[in-house]
Amino acid sequence: MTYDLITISLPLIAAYLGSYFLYQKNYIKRSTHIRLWNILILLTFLISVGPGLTLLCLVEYGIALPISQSLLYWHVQFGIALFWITIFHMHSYWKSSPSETGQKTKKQDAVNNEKNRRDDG
Amino acid sequence: MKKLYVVLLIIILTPVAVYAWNDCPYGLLNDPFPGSCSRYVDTNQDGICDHSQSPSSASTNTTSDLNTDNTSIHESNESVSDIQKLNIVPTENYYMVPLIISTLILYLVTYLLFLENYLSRRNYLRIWKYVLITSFIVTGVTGMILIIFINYGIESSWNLTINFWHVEFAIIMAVTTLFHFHLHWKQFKNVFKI
Repeated sequence: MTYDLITISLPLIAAYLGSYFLYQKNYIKRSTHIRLWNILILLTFLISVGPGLTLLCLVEYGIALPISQSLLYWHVQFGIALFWITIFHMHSYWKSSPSETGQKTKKQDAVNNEKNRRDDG
Repeated sequence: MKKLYVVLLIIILTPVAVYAWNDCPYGLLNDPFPGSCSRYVDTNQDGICDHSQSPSSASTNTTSDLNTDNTSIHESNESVSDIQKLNIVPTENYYMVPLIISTLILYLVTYLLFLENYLSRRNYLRIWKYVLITSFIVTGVTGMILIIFINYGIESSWNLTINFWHVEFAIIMAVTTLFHFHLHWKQFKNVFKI
């Protein structure tokens, strides 16, 4: 049994580049572009990790089910998609979170401190 | 001296390759080349994974395969392997529960430190972002290596080591992803808002 590494990877890369191009040229909003790939990453994560963890539990407890091979197959196929979509996700959010770049950090820390002081009091 | 370290590292990292029969952890029977997972091993060159066949059937296959050409191997490649009728297969320890609990405890400790203002939100987010990125890189790269090994039928003593670390880091990645949802809960909820 072989896995579709190229046939999954190439269309996904093309689709992301297409979506990114549409966003860059203002045909779609940034939020639409991000939301589309966020939904896809969540779906591929659930479909890849679900069978992966099920297989892990089965292997740890020494149980073999008739669906084990199908679980392994779909775990790998969706794992390939998850690999690429996670890279797209990192690209989309690269230095975009204000709390992580420090823009709002001081403000948020001050709010936190104030909240804690009130709780202590 | 450097060479000595490298040799020692290789010895430590390379698992003892024990090629056993009829002990497929997925319960497969007669799994054809290149196999469904990275454990594929074929010591008797009959195009079927040793883990998925008993020694007796393997010896029968070997004698019969002596008269067959490569086309039969390609034909068997396309067929799907059978699933073992037995439900019990040898167990393998990936430390799933200890890893999940340890990661969870570490997350709770950092969360507590953040709540007590010993840790800024920026550093708190940063720590778990880097844990997630590191675990993703190791899981992703080892996964890709395993797929290439399986697709091209590459057998090496590293397969089991790579598979082991793929699983270990995948557990950490899965748990850390749940923390990632917790850390970015507002954005996460907005994804589904129309």
